[in-house]
Amino acid sequence: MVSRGRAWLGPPIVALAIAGGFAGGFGGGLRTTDAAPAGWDAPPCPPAMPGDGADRGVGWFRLEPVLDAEGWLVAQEIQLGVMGGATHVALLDAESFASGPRGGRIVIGTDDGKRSRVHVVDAAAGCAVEAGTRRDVVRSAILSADGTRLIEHRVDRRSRADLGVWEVSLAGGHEVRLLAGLPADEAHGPTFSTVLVDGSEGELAAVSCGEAACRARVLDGSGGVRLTPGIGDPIGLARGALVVYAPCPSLPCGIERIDANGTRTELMAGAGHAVLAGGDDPSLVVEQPEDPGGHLTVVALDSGAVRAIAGPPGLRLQPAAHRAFAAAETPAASVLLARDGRVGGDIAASRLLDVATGRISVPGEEE
Amino acid sequence: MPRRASAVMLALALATIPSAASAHGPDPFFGDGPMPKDHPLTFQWRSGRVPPAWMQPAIHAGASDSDASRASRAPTFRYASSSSSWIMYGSDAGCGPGGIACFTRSVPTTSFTMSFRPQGHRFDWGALRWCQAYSSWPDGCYDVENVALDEFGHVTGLAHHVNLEPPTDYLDAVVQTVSRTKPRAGWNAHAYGRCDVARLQQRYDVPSFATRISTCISLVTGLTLSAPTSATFGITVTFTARLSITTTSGSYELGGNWLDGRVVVLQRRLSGGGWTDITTMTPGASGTYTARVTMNNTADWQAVFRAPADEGLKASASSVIRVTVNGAVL
Repeated sequence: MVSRGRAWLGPPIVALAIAGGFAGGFGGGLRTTDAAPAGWDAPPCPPAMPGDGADRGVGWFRLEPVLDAEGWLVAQEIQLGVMGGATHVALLDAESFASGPRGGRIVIGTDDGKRSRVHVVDAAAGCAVEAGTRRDVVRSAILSADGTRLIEHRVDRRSRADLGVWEVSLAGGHEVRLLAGLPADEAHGPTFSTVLVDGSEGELAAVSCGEAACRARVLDGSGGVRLTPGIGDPIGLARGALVVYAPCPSLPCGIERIDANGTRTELMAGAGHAVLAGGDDPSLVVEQPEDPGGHLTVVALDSGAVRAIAGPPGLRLQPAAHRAFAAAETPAASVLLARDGRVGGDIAASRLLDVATGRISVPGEEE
Repeated sequence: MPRRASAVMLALALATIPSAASAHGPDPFFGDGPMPKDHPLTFQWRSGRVPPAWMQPAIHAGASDSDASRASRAPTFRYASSSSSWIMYGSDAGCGPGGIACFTRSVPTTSFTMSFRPQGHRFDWGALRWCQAYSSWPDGCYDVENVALDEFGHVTGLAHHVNLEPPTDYLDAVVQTVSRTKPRAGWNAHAYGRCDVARLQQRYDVPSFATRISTCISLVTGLTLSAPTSATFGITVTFTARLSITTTSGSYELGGNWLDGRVVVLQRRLSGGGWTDITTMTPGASGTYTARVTMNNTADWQAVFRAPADEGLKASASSVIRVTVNGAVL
């Protein structure tokens, strides 16, 4: 038992530092600190950066909790970069997130207890464009497919009430609320985490997860909202279908597809980590709990056809960012495998697996 | 997720969707079945992700709570410096986005993992607060010991209890879909609830025939009675009853168990009369209950087990034995 007489004030806003050539040191455990990190200000990007279509390489990021000596979360450290490039390191507030990468850009949000600031970071250059400051707490945000808008989930700073999902233009900051806040209900309890998922065809889902089960709201693109309660956390969206876990207390767990008409189809029982691979034939890639990283199972999303595919030995399938606290940009039909199922610990060991062909390649060299 | 974590995972059955049910009953159980009975499960702290000093005693206490309140032959938990099972502090990829703690279990390798999110982890509703992190526990904090007990319950195979609507039966289980924070009822429960215990007893059996059966279930019992069918007037006759749990679909490992230390009453019915309690039979071993009665009249006899208020056992009565009394001495 300890006595806590002070509130931790939190670190400065985004502070990026280049750790070029960094290799190892972040994979072994929690990082601890006794004081607020000093940090550095991220250099601003050239004005044309967001949505300019430039090839920035295969971006990646990884978040690690930073604890004080008593084990309290005081910050999150983000490592980011592009495969084969320098690693940039930043300290974020304890209330912070990252998403993407998309087009080599990573969305970072950090909240100092008074305001949330959202940045779009160029993973290769380590520069950032500030995408806005909010009085409400921005819990998460993703970049739109065309790179011109942010989709944000916000909660009220004082009450923590769900304020819904907002679309914010990166050019000028014009914002529109896409979804209203979702109050707690008895079956799901208070919302612990809201996961934003977008699909290749512009679909968007906000999945509000209680302690054990989630409620998904899928925007169909024409203003309609489809609510699906009693599900687990999301794996992805493809062709209007939401792919989710069952509401299990842990993995392994069943996975089901929920079509736009509400039809629910179990794709697999007892699945481990899973990723939705896009491309012409979207498929679910599942790691076998008994054989992590060895043999993967591929389930065609449309037909449900199942086949096995060999993964690179010793590597683990990296799940969605809300589970892995890490992500990497992958080609449409590929998935990423990493040393501990999280990119960043040993970047050089990461591999891409083309689900259609079974080809294994080094990220950034797959061309 | 670290490689070792998933190496110890095997298929779990789907857990229940947290919807209310009209029927009240034992917790659901995972489809991959129970661990070995009475198996001593050890655990170590995961290297590099060791729970803080303020959290460790509460985790140990949760393990002890599980052992002390299992009322069954469910596995026991003990810390060891080296173990194939580990407990960590921090976010684990095996956890969904909502959990404050989570677990994995492997029946074939009799191992498990457990993760506790760090103090201060931000959820939509605010910052996670573990009570044990404070010298004075604030309202809204989660009790590590209670949450650890919930997770140890999962490791034994218990899935989330299905509560009534509204959840007036919340205190019947610690293994709950939604954990409660101080000061809501049940926030600091440090023993399995009766519906946790019921399922543990069904799947792991009880440590002895004298162990009380959880009131969250209602098992059919069977009672037999033996005695001579004739006796001489004035002779003392021994009646022997045996009480057991009848094997039914709901009895699982308990089916066929003898029931020791219960109250079995010997009744007599004289010609044209009703049943009268004669004596409480003396309990022995292996479900045996005896009574010695001096024979004065021809009568019907039966043993009766009345449903106890503190146990999940149904009443039963033996078949009737007529003991004919001969040679009355004047």
